[in-house]
Amino acid sequence: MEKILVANRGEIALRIMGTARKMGIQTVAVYSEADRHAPHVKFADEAVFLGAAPSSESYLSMDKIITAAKDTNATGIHPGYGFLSENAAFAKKVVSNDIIFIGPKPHAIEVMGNKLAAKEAVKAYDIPMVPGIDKAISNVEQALDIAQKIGFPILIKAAAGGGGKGMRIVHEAAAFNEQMQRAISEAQSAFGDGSVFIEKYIASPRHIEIQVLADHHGNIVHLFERECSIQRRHQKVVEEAPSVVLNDALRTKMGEAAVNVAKACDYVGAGTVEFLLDETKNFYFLEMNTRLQVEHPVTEMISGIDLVEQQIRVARNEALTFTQKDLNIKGHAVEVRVYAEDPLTDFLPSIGTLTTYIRPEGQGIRLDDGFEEGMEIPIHYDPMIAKLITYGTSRKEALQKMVAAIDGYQIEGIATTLPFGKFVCQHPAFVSGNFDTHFVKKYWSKERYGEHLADERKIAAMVALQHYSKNKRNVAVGEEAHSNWKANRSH
Amino acid sequence: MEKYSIQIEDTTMEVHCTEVEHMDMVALGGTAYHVIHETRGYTVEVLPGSDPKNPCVIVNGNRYTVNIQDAHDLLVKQMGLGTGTAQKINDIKAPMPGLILEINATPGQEIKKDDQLLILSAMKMENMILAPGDGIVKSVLAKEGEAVEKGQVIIALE
Amino acid sequence: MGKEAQKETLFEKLAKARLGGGQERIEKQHSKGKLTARERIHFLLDEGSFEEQGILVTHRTKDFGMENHIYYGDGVVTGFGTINNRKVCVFAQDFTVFGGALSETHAEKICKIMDLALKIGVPIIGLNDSGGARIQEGVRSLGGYADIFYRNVTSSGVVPQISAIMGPCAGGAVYSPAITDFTLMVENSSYMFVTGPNVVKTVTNEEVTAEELGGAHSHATKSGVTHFTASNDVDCIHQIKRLLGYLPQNCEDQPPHRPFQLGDEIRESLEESVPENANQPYDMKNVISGILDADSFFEVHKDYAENIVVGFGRLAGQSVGIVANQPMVLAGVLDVESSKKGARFTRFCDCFNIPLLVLVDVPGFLPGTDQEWNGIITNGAKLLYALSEATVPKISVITRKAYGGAYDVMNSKHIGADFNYAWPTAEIAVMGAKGASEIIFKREIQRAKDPEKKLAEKEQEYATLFANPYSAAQRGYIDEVIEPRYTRAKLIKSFSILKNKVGNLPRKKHGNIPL
Repeated sequence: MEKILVANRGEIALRIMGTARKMGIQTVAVYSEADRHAPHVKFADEAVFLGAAPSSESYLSMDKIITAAKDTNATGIHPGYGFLSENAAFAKKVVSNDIIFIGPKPHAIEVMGNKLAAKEAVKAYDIPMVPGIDKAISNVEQALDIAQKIGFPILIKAAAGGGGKGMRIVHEAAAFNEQMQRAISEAQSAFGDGSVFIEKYIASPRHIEIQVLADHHGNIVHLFERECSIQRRHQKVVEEAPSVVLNDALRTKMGEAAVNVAKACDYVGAGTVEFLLDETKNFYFLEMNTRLQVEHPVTEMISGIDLVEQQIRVARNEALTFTQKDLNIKGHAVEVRVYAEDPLTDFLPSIGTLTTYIRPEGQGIRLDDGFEEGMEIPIHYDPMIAKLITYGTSRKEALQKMVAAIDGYQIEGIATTLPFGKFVCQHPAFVSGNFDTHFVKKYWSKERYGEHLADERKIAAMVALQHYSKNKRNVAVGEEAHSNWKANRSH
Repeated sequence: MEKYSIQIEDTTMEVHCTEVEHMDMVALGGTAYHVIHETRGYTVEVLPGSDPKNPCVIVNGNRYTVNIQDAHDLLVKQMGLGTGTAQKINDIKAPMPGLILEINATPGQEIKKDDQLLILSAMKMENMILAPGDGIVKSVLAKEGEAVEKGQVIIALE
Repeated sequence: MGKEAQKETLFEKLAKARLGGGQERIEKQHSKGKLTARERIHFLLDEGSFEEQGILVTHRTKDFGMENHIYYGDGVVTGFGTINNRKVCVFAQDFTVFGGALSETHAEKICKIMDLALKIGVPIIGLNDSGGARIQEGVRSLGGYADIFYRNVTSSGVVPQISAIMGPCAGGAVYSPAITDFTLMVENSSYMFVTGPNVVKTVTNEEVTAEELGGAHSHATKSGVTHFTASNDVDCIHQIKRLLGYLPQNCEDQPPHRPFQLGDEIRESLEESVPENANQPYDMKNVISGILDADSFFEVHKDYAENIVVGFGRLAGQSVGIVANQPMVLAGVLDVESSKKGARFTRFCDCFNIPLLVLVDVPGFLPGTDQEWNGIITNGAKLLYALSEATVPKISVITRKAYGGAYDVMNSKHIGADFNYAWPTAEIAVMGAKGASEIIFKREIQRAKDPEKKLAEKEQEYATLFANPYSAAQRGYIDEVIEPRYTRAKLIKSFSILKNKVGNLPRKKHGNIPL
């Protein structure tokens, strides 16, 4: 493989190209109308225009992307995450065009992309599951019936989904119909498939996932866990590795379960097995993500392994050069996702231009981003603009570095989740390790954040007043614009 | 001693000039200062060029828009004098740019607080816009499938 | 007296002066929704810029026990300062002292600050809030008024004069605002009349409230005495500041030029402004805002004689005065009131070097006995006179109709316009096609079998020949027929080339405008 096309945009496109370049592989970017100025387009050796800004006409257009690969003689396609990364049809098309799909086989995507098939596949390995239904439905009345059987609270999830789209928690039967309809419609518009799953909702869960890596030669390892419990709208915002709640025994147990899930679908490449962990440390298999995860950098930091490089090597049919025994956790890594969202207005998208954009710098700070100062955040895509990752020998050190990095990261023109990230990293619940996926609901509100910043506000007020009083003492006489008055009137 | 009412976002505090005079604050050059308040240190910068009465102040990397109100401003506020042609707070405006997926309002329709008025899609998320209060729909100013700007009035209420 | 004691004396006097008529009266003023004179000045001027003059002046009357009622400042606050960094002189009558009544010394203070404004060439702003003459002083107070009037007249056309009516203004007092360039009135708390409701009742038996007779609304819509209305004191002050932003300091200076980055100045929206159907009205204000810099249009006399629109705006940062027919109201016809309105505004712009942009869509002068007997001849002539006399850069754009004498009046080439542009939709003719055909082909139509059809035929014939800008363009009456979208760009370039225009009238004492 001498040249690969990256069928994605933003930070992940850039991140994949970085590794490719390091490995001496040429890169091809694709872009939509909205992304002509994006760094991934400028970074790549070649770039191909796909179409209009909406994803359906650009980054989701399979034929255009495959044509682009052929036209540029790219022999591999890396799909990144999101967009076509978990689209089995795409993977098949890529393969049938004699291009290497850098990811699992279409079969694995298909199986794991369908929750029902996934559950069926892993049955033989005795993987624990959350109580729920076996088949996806789109009939509201029938769904209500099932929900009542499982017992509220229940969770509605898009069958084809991921990323929180089409996902709803329903606490009572009265709210069910409306929520169900919204979930179906969201699933329909996001994935083109409106069917959903219903399952028992676990009250205080932690979201723990295991990174796995498999090659074509039957080797399969796991790269430990990632703790992804800090979420808003069911989407992760802060992740870390390792998790504070796992001990070696549980880690081994979950790791083995993850490896088994991967085996169940004949997995190759990098994948992630997601689990829920309840208060008594029982874990339940949630799903497998058959792609590179957004939060993969924390794993890279603690394992010292470049996951993209491994993906490419596996795709080139190379065998893994290490076994489970060779792998160790070294240090601690935290990631804060920087979304163009205003944490103070319920994480609503905050769209605008990056009038100031200054990256933080320092030892142990990694920033995966895809924007530059002066760029506009397009409304057509996911609002994530960057991932800020810090690494330390201890969790404490990693968190301290994160706070410092956030202070040094200057973004103006839009609101971002950075202040939220700082809030999390300084919050006693998070610092102590005693938190679950309800962190946002429990601890985050405009008012509480206000308390947190009350001192800063007070200082801002006092300094402003001091500045104002000082200013008031200054003598001003008005501007001395050129005037003809005296010259013309002095006779 | 002179007293000021200072507003930062949605918090208002009263500050006396004496408090400010006793503040442990050293200039770092330009409009930057270092402040020690209850043993904690803060690096503060008043953005140059901003109106001294409505300055933009950066404290430890966080930005605050400060509004200083003196006795005169408070008097005007108390008397209810303002320059803004009173904008109707009732109109339903887009809280962000996005695409309108669905509008559940027709002119003449009576709406109750928290009624679901429309669905606005932005960055792949569907956002339900609820009625902020009771009212009657005067007109619907946008269509389903239309892209709207932040602050654009979508539904006008009577 | 020691130094400290001397200082104490000063502090005491100043503190007393700043309290005006006392705390109780200040609260009373507030309870009426009105600010005090000093508070108004605080909001009008840049903070800390105001320097008060004559704060310790007191009246000299000994009659009627007045010697026992002495207030520092004598009911008016005067001084200088800056508004948005530009120098101004200002006086504000203090209603808390004798109801702002004007005494000899009160008038002297006003005259003094007006003299200063005239000497240094800066605008003078008067905030009026006065019950009238201080009757105890008799004729001395009348003399005071006249001293002010005289200065208003001598300053006219030299420095901009602005009057805000923020309380009562009755009797002789009204003539000072009447002479100044612009008057603003605060709704519900101000009124102006020569004779109040009581006298009106006695003399004419007419029952009328002060608000109806001389409130802001009446003067904004019926008499045109006020150019602007404000919802309250703060709004009024805000409007004064905005107005000043378009005006030069004096007649020798140029109006302020806001920094402006020129770029793509093509405005597609203008293509849609004139409707297909020639008889359909449209809002000329859309054309105006399409041409001007965003949000820069500041309308004058908004509610008076709405068939003509006048106001200030900016074109690439440059102040311009706009005079435009309004097809939305009475088809944009010229009548007595609209002619007066247009003429006064035009003359103001000419006084103060503000270039004029005239937008034309006019079907003619309004016919009828009412108009003729009210002197549409003399009044229409005012607009003709004012536009002819103006030596500032003058450009007109004909968007649609320019019929008959009104074509001549509305800044035509013949009366000295520097550039005359027309949109392709323009119809420059003696009259509308129908009227013209009826006269020219009278006999032919009468003789025809089907006179209706013949008329339509002839109307079409006439329209093809004259209902367009081309015969005027052939004669050079129109310099260029332009696409609406390029109007803004053309005007920016045209006003720019005219920047140093020198337009001289024959030497004279002053012209004799048909008043």
